[in-house]
Amino acid sequence: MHNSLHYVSEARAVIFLAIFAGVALSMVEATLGPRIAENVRRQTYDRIPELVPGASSTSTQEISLQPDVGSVNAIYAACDESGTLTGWVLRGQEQGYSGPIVLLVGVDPQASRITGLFVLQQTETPGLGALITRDSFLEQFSGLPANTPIQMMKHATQPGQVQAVSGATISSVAVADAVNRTLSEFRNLLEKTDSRDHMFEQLPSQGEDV
Amino acid sequence: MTDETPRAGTVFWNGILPENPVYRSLLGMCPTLAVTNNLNSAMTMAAATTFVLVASNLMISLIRSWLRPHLRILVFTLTIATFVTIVDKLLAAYMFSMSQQLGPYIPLIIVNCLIVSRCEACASRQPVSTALLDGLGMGAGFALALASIATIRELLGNGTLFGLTVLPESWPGWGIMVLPPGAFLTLGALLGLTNWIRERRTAS
Repeated sequence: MHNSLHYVSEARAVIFLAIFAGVALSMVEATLGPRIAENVRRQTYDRIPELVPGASSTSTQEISLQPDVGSVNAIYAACDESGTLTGWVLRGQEQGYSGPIVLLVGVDPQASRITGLFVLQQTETPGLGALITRDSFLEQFSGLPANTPIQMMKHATQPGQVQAVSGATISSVAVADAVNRTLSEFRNLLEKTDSRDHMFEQLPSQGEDV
Repeated sequence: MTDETPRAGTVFWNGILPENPVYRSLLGMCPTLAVTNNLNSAMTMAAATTFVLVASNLMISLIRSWLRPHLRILVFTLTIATFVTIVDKLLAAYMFSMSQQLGPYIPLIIVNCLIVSRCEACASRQPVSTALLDGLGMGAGFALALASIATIRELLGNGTLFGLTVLPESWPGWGIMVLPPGAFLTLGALLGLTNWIRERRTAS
């Protein structure tokens, strides 16, 4: 009997700290949790007007996906203020040089032309691979046709080719691969009647004139 | 460190130069090497580490009479992990892009030996005021060390400080300085320099 009390008394620092940690962390989570979730959401939604011209962050809505869609892991229907579909924002990812690169690709409603590109997450080498987040690199993608694969070149000579970040070929090619794969999978989704219907059913009032 | 209470000024100053965690004790090498390629992330790391260090020192010092030798590592880890999680959430809520940039290195403060060594060497034996000053001094010393390495790496690697261009456009930017080898080269050179200065001081 003396022993069990003795053990509890020995461990009182641990017991006290466990209770303290539980209380402190649940208070932190309750206070900051919504703010963090909002930061994560805004990271995507704040970009939508830049990725799809004319789209508004507030009218844009995420389309819930049917399972089995490969590397496209989110689709946002980008709408303007009046609710008309102005394009799509697709989130895709590819393994880069030192970790996954997660991208947002903006395309027009027919998925025929790229309207913008943004790097959401990357862990590439600072000063080299991380330069894929620069506007000067990403702007090259705007206006390219979305139905032919993008060619990543060390020295882009023709229109339609993209100049890789020098010293970061692997990261640059990973961006091109991610864009190509995301777009081809999204086009497959649009072509398959049932998944297309599934996507359009979720839009508030949309004609199926794609 | 002895069990008697040392003078306040000495405790604070100790962490900055005489017992600098990076240059004298070689503690906390992971963040020292990993996040010093620019001053912004290095200073955020230093601030986060100092917060955890001071808070853990205070907590351990407050409950030091309850500590039992065989449970102390468990108690230290529990305390440190709690404060690291708090600082991680704070960064994600108020400095979201920085928190994304630092990635796993903020949670990794839990295994920074600097903090557990201060809990063991100081906070578990000293009153709260000494533990507070020790945490602040060690935190300042850690910040100073990270700042010195990050200044050199960011300046030579990108020609910038805190992201602002300082060197002329013609500066080529030594790419290697912002890469991992640059961290080892800079740390080695600065360690050599501090040892050299120290030896000259003791000799004279």
